[in-house]
Amino acid sequence: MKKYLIIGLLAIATSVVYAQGWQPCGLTDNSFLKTIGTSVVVHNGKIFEFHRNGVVNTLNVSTDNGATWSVVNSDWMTANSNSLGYNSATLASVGKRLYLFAGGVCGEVLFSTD
Amino acid sequence: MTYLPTCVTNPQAKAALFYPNMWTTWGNDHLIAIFESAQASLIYNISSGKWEYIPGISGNMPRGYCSRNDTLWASSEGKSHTGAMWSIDGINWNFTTGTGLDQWEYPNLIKWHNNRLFMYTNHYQKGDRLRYSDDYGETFHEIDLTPYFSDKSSINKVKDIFSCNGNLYISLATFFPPAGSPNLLVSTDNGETFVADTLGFPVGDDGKFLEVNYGALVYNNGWLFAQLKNGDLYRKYIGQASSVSNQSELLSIEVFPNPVDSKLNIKVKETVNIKIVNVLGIVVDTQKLNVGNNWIDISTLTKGIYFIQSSNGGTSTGSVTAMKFIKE
Repeated sequence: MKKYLIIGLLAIATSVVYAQGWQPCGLTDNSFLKTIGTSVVVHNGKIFEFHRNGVVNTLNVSTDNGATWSVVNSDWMTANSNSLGYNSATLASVGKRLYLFAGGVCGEVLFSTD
Repeated sequence: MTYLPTCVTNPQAKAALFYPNMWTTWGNDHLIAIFESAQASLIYNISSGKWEYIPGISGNMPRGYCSRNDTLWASSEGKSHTGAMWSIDGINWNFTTGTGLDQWEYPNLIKWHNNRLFMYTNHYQKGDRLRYSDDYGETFHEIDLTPYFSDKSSINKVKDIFSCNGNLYISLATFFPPAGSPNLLVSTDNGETFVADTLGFPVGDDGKFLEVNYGALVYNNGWLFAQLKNGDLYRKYIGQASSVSNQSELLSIEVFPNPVDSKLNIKVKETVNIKIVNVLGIVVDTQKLNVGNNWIDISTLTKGIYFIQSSNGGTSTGSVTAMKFIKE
């Protein structure tokens, strides 16, 4: 009985510690060598996450504080692949606009109004 | 979702800019970005839709920006001035004294948190430091971070200073981090003490923590997010804002005009006693303010910098509100 009580207390303690710790959002399977640009920002109550893995640029969005994610349409990134292909990238939220600084050859800034 | 491309060039050098090293927002209609590759700071005005060059201000190239209410703050690199500077229009700047900073100590990151101004500085001989000021950048004190490292000889870099939910977060990097060194510190007492906050973070292939880079900490609805150097995103629930919130929510007084000549308006949300203190810490006036606008006659004060201090009755640092104004 004493043994089970100790195990139970340890389980509770473990769950409390876990609840206070960081949890992975399960978004990416990156490695430092593959990832060039990463950025995260809060915009209009949504979480936006950008990363570049190899040659693929991905912009994710979550409307439930990171519980679930969806990929934002990437057509605009393909059209601006020159800018996005060379260096890091940065997301910034100002007013109603979401900005993406693309550290490429021409220093473009892309922004969304919706 | 519609994305519109726009090309950013340096208005002065007529050259393209690249990835910004640091950035911050200012109000709801300005974005500030530092481009070290072009040694330029740009301010973007959404209303006008234009980027404008922020001049180096007599060689004091800012290496960090932050905003506090309507005021834009910047660190000053130190060619003609070392310390902090602030502006209400992004064009005209006021310099703080910066007492306490050493010669050749270059201010870098700058951040307001609970009425305390934090600044990360670099010194080519004495190393990097985290400092704070309780008098709007006039004097700076050092925060010793070495107790939080298992190897005190390692050279530590502060990647970011982040304020949210009443807590102060410091993300760190070390050139050769020993195993067990934290990459994230959190303070719940306005920077007086810190604890490591890396529980649950993965460990890199070398057995060391992965860095949390500049701008990689964000907060939303009780959740704190951290993006690690390898791109992985983590989240942690820290709850909604408590009684000690960020400075804009904590501040309960507004002061205008500033600078001021004779009549100063102080707007408060609750009845409060205030003290007007000069830069030497001497109380030059006391007033009891009622809710709303209160016009104070300051025509008899000599020209200079003053601070309005008010307390909501508590004794902790976070309960004291202070605002700075200039008597012309």
